[in-house]
Amino acid sequence: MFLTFLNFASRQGGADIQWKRHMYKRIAWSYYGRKRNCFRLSIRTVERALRYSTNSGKPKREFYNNIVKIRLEAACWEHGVLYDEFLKTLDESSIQLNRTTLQHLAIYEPRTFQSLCDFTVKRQGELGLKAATATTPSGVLTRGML
Amino acid sequence: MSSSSIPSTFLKNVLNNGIGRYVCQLQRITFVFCKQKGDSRGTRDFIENKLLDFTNSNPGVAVYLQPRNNRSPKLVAEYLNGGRESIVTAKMSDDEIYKWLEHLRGRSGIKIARIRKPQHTENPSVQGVWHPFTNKDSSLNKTQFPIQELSEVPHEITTTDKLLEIAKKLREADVSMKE
Repeated sequence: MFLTFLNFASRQGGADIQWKRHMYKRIAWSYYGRKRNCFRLSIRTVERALRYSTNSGKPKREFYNNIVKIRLEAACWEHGVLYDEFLKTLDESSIQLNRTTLQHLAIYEPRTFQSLCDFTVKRQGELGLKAATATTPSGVLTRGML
Repeated sequence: MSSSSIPSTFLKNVLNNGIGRYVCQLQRITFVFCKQKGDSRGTRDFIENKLLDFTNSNPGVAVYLQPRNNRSPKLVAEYLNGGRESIVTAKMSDDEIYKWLEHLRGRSGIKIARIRKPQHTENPSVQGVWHPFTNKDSSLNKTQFPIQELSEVPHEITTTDKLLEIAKKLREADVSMKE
């Protein structure tokens, strides 16, 4: 007798359905009315809630990165350095500190951050003197005037 | 929504355990099992063969055996901070139970939840936390506010001033033309 079709058609061998219902009940504990207690009704709300909770990944990262940027900008500005130049100079000098760490230093170790800013200022000054002797970048026509 | 049902916590340790001395946080472990049922076979085997090794290597942990008829076997761990963990050991082999036991031994009583940050410190600052006067001149500590000089509006040439100047010049030019 052809039984394989029945094997495919029937739902056997999975976990006890009560586990899933228990999970949904745990998530729906604060909902209003029968959504809280009845599985068939709470599926609709819980699954939407879980889906919506995945929305926050990218905006959350952007939000916190923006805060870090604002903090670093303000901290550099206090010591008279521009944010972009500060990061660029650190990168060129192989000081591999990421923005989160720099922001942490600016808040909790202000003197260390000050020394980093002073270093960048000094380094930019050195580069300024060397710029005259350095090769001009490609695509710039100076006609020998610089 | 999920945050209320899927809780998250900051990294915690029980009384800085491990920084100086390490104290095993497991206070007592209870084996609930049935003497007859097949579910408890692994538990019974474990109790016969491997339990004494465990007790000898962990003298600080109190072990209780609760043979209860027709109940599913459980492993209940209680911790020094009052936390409690139970694991249903139905149909587990004695090796599996040993692994779970070792897992429970290594834990503190803190509940497992999503850890928000992988670091935690009570003393984040050595040099002192930044405040608005950190990078300002320390003579400000002894100044009396308000300061007249700082309260004055700085004189900048406004557009009105410029227009008035232009108008004045035009009037002078007019007068000299008429003359």
